Parts: sequence; structure tokens; C-alpha cells
Amino acid sequence: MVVRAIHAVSKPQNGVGAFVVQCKKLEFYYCDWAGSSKGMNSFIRHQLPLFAQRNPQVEMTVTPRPRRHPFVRASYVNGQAKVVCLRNLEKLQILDKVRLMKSDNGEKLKRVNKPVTSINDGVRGIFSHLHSNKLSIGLEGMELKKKKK
Amino acid sequence: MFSRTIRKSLIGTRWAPVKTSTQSQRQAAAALATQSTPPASETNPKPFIKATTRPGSSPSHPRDIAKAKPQDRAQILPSYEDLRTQTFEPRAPAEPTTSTDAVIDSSVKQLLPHLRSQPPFFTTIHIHGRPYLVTVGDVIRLPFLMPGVEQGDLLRLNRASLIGSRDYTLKAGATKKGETPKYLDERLFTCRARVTGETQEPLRIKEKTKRRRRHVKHTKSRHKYTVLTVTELEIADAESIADLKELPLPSTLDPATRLQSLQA
Repeated sequence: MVVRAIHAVSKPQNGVGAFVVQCKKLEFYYCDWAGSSKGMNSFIRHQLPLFAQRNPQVEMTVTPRPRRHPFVRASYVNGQAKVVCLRNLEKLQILDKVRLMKSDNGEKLKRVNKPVTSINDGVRGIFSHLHSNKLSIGLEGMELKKKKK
Repeated sequence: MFSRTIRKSLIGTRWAPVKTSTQSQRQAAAALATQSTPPASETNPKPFIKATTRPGSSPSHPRDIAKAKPQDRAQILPSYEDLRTQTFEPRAPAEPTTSTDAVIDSSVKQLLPHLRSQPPFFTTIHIHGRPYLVTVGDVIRLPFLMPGVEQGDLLRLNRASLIGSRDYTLKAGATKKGETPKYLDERLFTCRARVTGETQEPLRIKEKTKRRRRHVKHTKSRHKYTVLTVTELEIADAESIADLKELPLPSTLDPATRLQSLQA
């Protein structure tokens, strides 16, 4: 018996059929006393309830962390976690940061030069000059020379 | 400067038709309800094309905003907070800037079924005039952060200059230099993409130097990007193409009817 690998019929691509939000958990840490937590405390009071309501698929926790700067930690499906310090930020600046962390996929930040990434094979196939018709090899140059004269 | 930016963007925004306050409130609530459901549970997701409407209040016309006195403007314009926490309702996309041909060429009608019978397809879709050659499942990292969209939204991309399979290619008409580009008739194909998230790039640090100044300034920037995944690419079937000549042009439809036809 020859051992054969099982061919994958389809490759999982998030968003093509079902779409799963990649952010699992957001942990908010704040201090009641310190001034750097002023915006964070305001965010927790005014912005967080609605934000949590709109994103029921993300677990959110709020934890006191006395005498320290506030921060948020996001955990992702791929096992990565990202931490952002939120000291001295206003509540809407925090909302922007948190929205971005929630929309992220948890991968390490990379510089991408090409906008489209694909795992599919090229639809039109690969060009082969040997199999293309209407092409006689080695004669094009001669014809060009003739035309110039 | 900041308030000016908001005002400018508001005036530049295309507004949905004004509805009665109760109706718009109900719709805003419905929009909120659809947004709060986890996208994974969607079995048959409908295209979600965004509108910029404040929840619970009918939008002011940009003309009113421009006419209002500076002190009254603050009341008409939504606050900074509103702009970030607002919800959206589906709306028809902007009309194509270029006119599509009223009569579809007979060769298109003849060959489109051949193209349709030969999946997979590729297409060159245009977003803000930039071309992206994609197939189903491809990830597009747009070079900008798209405003007014949320993670999980489904967008219909209606500007394509090229659609093809292995042997057939349908091209939009050629343009001369300086002319506005031409796109394929949006009734011939369906291309949808899902907003799968937003990402950043690693921090850029640019060294700023001047001559004879023994000082180097480091400026930091980090761009944000919207990420789309192409979920659907289909070509119209032969029956609907047969009477395409009788179908009204997209530019002649009113926004509501056009949205319905696009969602179908």
C-alpha cells in the first residue's frame, strides 16, 4: 500500500463563507486615583457599555490597577496578545485605539508593498512560449530588420 | 482646524433622503440590532452598503449647514462624539461617474454565457480609481482607512474594468489619455467583499535633517489600513442578459430602487 496524503478539498479562509472576529478578549486596566487614568475612567463610564453591547462576540473585563498607568490588552484567536498603554489619553482617543485592536487580526505588524494577497492559482494559467501558437521562434528579429529597411 | 475638517467632510458627504423622525429612529434601532449580532452567525448575509445618517434624528441638508451662522452650526452639526458612535443604514452606492452603454453589444450577449460557464473568474475592480486584480478569497489591504464601515460589513464592488476566466476576457471600453475611465456595466457581474478588519503598519521613523544644523529630528507615523476579503464574484446568467436591453440604466433609477436591485 502506498501512503497517500489526503488532499485538502478546501482551504479555510476567514470571511469567505463565515466570518469570525479574530479578537477574543479585551482587558481594561485602570486606576481610580491617578491623573493618567482620567480619560480611561471616563471611557469606562461613558463609552465602554455601548461598545461592549455592539461587540457581543468579544469578552471584555475591567480590572483596577492602583497607582499604575492604564492600559488595554487584546487577545486574539491566533494566540497573540497586544498591549497598548493608554496613559493621559482622552476617552475618544481610547475608543479609536480599542476599535482598531478589536478589528485587528492579531498578526505581527508587517510592511506590505502589494495590496492583494492570494492563495489561489492564477486563473489564466502560466504563459509558455513553447505552447503558444502564432509564434515562430527566432524569426521575429529578422522580420523587424526587414521592416526597418 | 479640527472642526473645519469635520465640517468639510460633512458637507462633502452625500445625504440619504430625509425621513420622518420615528421612522428613522426605528431604522437606526434596526441597524444597531443587525450590527450587534455576531457576524459569524449570519447564514445569508445581505450586502451592507453604508449611509451616513445620525441615529434618532433626520440629517440636515449640507445646504442648511452652509447657510447657518457660525454659532448655530454647532447645533446642526453632529458632535465629535456622535461621529464616532453613530450607526449606519444601507444605502445605494454613488452613481457611476462614467455612463454605461445603453445597448449592450451583441458580442457580449453572445459570449457572456461562455465566460459564465468557465469558473473560476478574475476581475480588476477599482476602488478610488485604483485597480486591484482579484479572485474569490483574495485579501485586499487597501492603502487607506475606509470611513463609515465596520468590521464584518459586506460591500458590493460595482466598478470593474475587466472580468475573465481562463479563455475569455470581458473588457470595459478603452479610453484616451485624460478621459475618465470606463467601467463594465454593473448589471453584468456581482462582486462582493467583506470588511475583515483594520490593520496598521510598523512604526515609520523618518530622519529629518538640515544642513549645518547638528540636530536630527525623528518624525514618527503609523498608517492605518482597511482589509477586505473578496467573498463573491459571479457573472449574470443568460436569461437576464437576454432582456438586458429593456432593463433601465442604473443612472436612471432612484436610489431606493437601485439599492434593491443591487441587493437582489
